[in-house]
Amino acid sequence: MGLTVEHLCISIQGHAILKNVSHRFTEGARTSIIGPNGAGKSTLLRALAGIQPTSSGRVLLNGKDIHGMTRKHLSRSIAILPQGAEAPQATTVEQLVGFGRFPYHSLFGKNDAKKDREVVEWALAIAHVEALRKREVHSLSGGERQRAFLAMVLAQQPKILLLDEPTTYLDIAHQLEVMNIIREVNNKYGITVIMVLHDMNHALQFSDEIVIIKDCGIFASGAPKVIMTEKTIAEVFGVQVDTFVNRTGKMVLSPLRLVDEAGKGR
Amino acid sequence: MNKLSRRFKAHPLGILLILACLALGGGLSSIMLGSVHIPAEEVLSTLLSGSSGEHGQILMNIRLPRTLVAALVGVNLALSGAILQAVMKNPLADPHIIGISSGAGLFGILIMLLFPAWSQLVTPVAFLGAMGAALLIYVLAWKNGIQPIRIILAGVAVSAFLSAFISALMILYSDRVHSALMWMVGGLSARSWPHVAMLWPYTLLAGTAALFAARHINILQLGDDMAKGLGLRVEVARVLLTALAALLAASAVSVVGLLGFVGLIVPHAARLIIGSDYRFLLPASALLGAAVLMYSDTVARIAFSPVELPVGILMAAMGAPFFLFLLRKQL
Repeated sequence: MGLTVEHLCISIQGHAILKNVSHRFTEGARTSIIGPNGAGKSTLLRALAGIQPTSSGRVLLNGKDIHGMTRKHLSRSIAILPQGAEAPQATTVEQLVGFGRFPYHSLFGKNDAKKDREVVEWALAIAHVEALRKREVHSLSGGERQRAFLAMVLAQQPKILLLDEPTTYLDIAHQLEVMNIIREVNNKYGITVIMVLHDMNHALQFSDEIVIIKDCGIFASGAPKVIMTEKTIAEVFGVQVDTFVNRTGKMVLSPLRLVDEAGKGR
Repeated sequence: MNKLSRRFKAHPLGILLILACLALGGGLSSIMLGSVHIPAEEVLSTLLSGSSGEHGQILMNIRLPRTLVAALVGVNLALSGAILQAVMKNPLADPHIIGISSGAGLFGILIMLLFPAWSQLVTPVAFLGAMGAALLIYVLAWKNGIQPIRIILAGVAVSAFLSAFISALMILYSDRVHSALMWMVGGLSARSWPHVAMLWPYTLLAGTAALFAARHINILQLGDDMAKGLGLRVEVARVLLTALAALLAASAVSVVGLLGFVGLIVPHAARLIIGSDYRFLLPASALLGAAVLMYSDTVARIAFSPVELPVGILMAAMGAPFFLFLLRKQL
């Protein structure tokens, strides 16, 4: 399932957030969206999921405008884990993951219970939360919680998974655990992953493609090694970085100092 | 959180069964107890084989309809509060915040004080007032959809505005203010079959709709973005659910007056017992609401006999401390 945006413009309360953005997201790949705060990364992600009103332009799923589809139908193909999802009090992990089956239920709750159970088990297993199934979501640590929510969106059986900063607020081990699950979901089940990431090293390590957003538009996009040059990063983020190659052959960044647009230190 | 059900590992259906028994007990005691005591056997025989004698008259014409009104009002207010707490994402949400009480209050009092001869119009006119106020708040809060916080703020403003007129009326017509006071507090005295007839269609229709909406309410609790991502049309759901809550509360308030605290406290208590899965929380709130109101009305009738307290006073006296208890406990 290919996701494409064409001439997408979004403004919120008169402020332009995205201007004339066009991009074709590679099917079956892991794509990271990075950029400075307020550049419109989350807005683009929300637009891809069809939960962000757009001013003009289109989001196409397999060539079809997603605004012509019903919400329910769309949510069987595209799942989004937004920031700040909350679980109601006393909800267990199992119940939460079960909510992911909502798009497959009819208005009056008719559903294929056996299929639902199978998919929920599958999702619990992939996100490594089987052992936590009876625990209340509120009693979990940040990393466990994030995995529980990940299991919920996986229970939607999406072809395309959209994640908004899935590792924010997690410690380094939990970050890695979440990123590994995301990689497995993509490798093993072929689910296209598009994620907004804060951590550029994660973006370098875990993505096939990177889209850099700056000033309401796409600044650059392509394979990490090609586009993540020291010059580009200085231009986009105003930070001079050192790049290294680590022992797995992946590029890593280390920030050195703030620079202005001409590349001079400040 | 969810302490009882976790401690006893009780199945939600088991808890619902216990609550149903509680409600039945409330109904029975409300029918039996009062200035005239009617023994349980007599209640049963009268209900099964028709009325006979003085007790039968009391039972069929006074106790039974009043008990039914209490139960239906309890169900409607509790369901309305439970729905609103989820839709507004606010634990303080109850039928007050969507203007139901101030709207019903003003229009009910208008009839009672200005046109006391037409007192039979109080219920329908109060219903119109309640729905009108809810609609007004809706319109004022509308801006590319409904945001809970705007509803709450518009609700506070509209309620304050309408309350000004209520106060003005009560002062201008202070000689007739007794009936208005009873209405402001909320009570069940002299409620009978016509009121049952007014209430039950709302309980049946809106109650059934609420139960069908339970899964949608569960999804709504996950936050707007998550709910949209799961395929819920959040704006549509919010509008329909608020309308449902308005209907339920308006029908109850127009019959018994501005009965407070049931819509606020009962859903919280039910949540404490059964958790926040609305498929169980809604029926639990309904049963608990019916039970609480039937027991309270029984107590209000006999505690200071022969003087009868309006049940609203008892609800506030019990509800406020319980609310503080909840506050200390979990919020």
